[in-house]
Amino acid sequence: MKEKVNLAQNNLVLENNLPGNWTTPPSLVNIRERLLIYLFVFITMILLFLLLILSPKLSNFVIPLSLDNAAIVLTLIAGIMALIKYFTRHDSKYLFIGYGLLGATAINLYHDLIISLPLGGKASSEESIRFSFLASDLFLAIWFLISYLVWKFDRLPRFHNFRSNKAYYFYFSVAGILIFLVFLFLSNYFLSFLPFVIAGLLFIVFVVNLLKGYWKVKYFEHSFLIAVIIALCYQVFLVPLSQTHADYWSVIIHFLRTFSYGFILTGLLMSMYVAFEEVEWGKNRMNVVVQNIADAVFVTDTWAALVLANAKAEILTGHSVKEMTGNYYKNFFKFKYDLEPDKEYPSFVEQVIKTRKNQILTSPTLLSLKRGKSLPVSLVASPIHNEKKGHVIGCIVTIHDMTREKELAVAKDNFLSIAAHQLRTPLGSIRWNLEMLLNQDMGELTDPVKQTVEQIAGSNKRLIDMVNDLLNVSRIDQNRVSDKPQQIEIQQLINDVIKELQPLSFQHQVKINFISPKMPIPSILIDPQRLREVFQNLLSNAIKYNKRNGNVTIELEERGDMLEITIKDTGLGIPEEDKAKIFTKFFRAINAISSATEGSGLGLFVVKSYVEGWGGSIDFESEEGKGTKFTIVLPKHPKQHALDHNLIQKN
Amino acid sequence: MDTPTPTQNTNKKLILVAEDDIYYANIYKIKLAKEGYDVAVVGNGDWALKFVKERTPNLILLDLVMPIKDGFETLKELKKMETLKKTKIIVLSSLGQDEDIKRAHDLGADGYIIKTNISIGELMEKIKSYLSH
Repeated sequence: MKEKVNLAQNNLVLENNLPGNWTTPPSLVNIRERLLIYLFVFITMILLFLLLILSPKLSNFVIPLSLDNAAIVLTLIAGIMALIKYFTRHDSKYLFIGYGLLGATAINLYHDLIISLPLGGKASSEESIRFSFLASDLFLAIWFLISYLVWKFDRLPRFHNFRSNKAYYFYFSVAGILIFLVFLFLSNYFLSFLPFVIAGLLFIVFVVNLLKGYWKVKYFEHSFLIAVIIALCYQVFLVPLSQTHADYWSVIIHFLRTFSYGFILTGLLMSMYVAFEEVEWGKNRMNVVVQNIADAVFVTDTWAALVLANAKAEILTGHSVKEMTGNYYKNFFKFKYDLEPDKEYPSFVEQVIKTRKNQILTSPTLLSLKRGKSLPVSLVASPIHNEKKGHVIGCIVTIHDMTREKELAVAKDNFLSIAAHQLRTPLGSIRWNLEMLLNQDMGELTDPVKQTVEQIAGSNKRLIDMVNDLLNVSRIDQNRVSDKPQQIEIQQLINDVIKELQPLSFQHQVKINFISPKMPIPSILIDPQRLREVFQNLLSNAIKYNKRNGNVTIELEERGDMLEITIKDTGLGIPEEDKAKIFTKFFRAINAISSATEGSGLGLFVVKSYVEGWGGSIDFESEEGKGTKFTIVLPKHPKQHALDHNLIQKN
Repeated sequence: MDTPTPTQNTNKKLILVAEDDIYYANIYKIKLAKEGYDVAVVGNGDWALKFVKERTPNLILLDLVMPIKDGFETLKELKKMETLKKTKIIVLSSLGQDEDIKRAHDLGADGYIIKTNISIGELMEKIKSYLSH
């Protein structure tokens, strides 16, 4: 069944051969075909038989002998194939089937020899000829029975431990040999009956299982066993016919036996063909899956040369897998940073192979397409290990098209900007109205009324701050922070912020100490509004969560290429269990919440994002009940947050 | 939309405000009057242009997002008028994108104030300083 696959984005139609369907390989589906093959074998052998008996020249002695020779060859081949199947598939029943067939071969050979070569100087007795004839069938029948029992035994969960050391092979083999020997020498009568009995039993089992639906087409492997059983059933005819010695019947008996071995061999060949087909189908299945993955996937060897690529990879690069195989991946997959197009993109495949670790590349990345276009993508590269030795033999890379995600981010940001704007407008008019009230523009304000108005003003300010924070946070999340850097005297800025926070520090009765540096600090190129926000956040925290009559000490120092700012307070401190989370969004430590001071929980997240975006770092030391010390390190030449130009939409 | 109420007192400075948000309009009316100015508040650019044909304000405060005729359009046309050569036109908007500020300056605005970032006291200070130069 050919599957046509439509890669919606690029309208490429792929034809992927998956014969059969996902759960069953093709030969399990074409049962008619298989039955036809058996029928073919059946008819061929009938024709051969007819040919043999109708040819006038061959004597009645030669025919049985040639049939016996044919039987030997067939059982030998079948036995070898059964053993090959055992060694490749580790299916224990084939081991026993193999023994059985090879044993039967040996006995048949003996039978042939005693017919054609007189042993000990005289012609062999009729008895011994018949004996050896039937013994091989008995041997075969017993071993098939054993293999059936082994197959059943393999499925019993109880004996798992017993099974795992393969000792049971030995026990089953011994049992098989013992049974054979017992019945061989027990009685002649038994000898002729037993193959028939065993064949009959297995036949009944077969029919019962068929009716139960157990041996469905799914278990095609058992077609071999089915063939065996059918073959053994022919032995049934040997029982009455072996009593007569008519040459004619002798020919028929020999023919039937050879015929049944031919059937067994056909069954084996069929099951091997099925196994082969299953492997091909398995390969095709995997191939179809990989080809149809919507993401582009490619695999390299340890030299970062391409080994495999799927259809999407072909589409994205515009080259076929044939062209790409064996060549360096960067010749076809050209990545660059979305925000810093001149910066070199890392050789991540080489890194993965060297470090043996996964790499998930998170920075906005563009993949260059033909005609100057590019695609926003996300990349994941993983090492491929050799199963036996555990060392890395290659790298697999998955490329995900991020266009949709990007569009969503833009839509989200537009929505947020509009929402923020819509929220700010009424909040702004509330604020002005409150300011007019407090300024007594609308008339005198008595104390209780004034206090109430102040409360409203406070809440309103919180709302305004919250809206600003939310918009900031969403911009940070999407790497949409863009700096407007200016040359800033950082000392001056800190002093400004301290002045701004005078009312707050007065309110909390906290003293602020700014220890100026000994040497003047050079100005740095940085976004003043954002830097101001950083200090506002940290200082207002230091004030708000401080003790009454507490202190806040700010120090500014030059350390080589960096500037170090420490903000120490004598406040609540940060509890041990909260230290790890203090910089996360909306997090407020429990002691901060219970201190009845306001805070959105976004401040430190914003501070950390800005500081790290500038190439600096922020850390803290804190002891609950004693105080906290925040240390910010900023480079003298901060990195600038660059705006993602692709995301700007003109309104 | 408001019909302007011209006064006879020529000592007071006249400020024209174009603002469609009724809450802000109300605040301007009250506060600017309190500060001792003559105030006229109109709800869109058309009305603003009509007003300046009859009277010449000392200062014009212009919102950007307005119905019928927006702030940019109005700014462009106001700038053409001879009678307004000595009148400063200040954009007073809640939008603050770089593109908007640039566009306003390109069209000849004498200043740009972002409403939502300042207190009303600060706004009055700015207006005072614009009027005194």
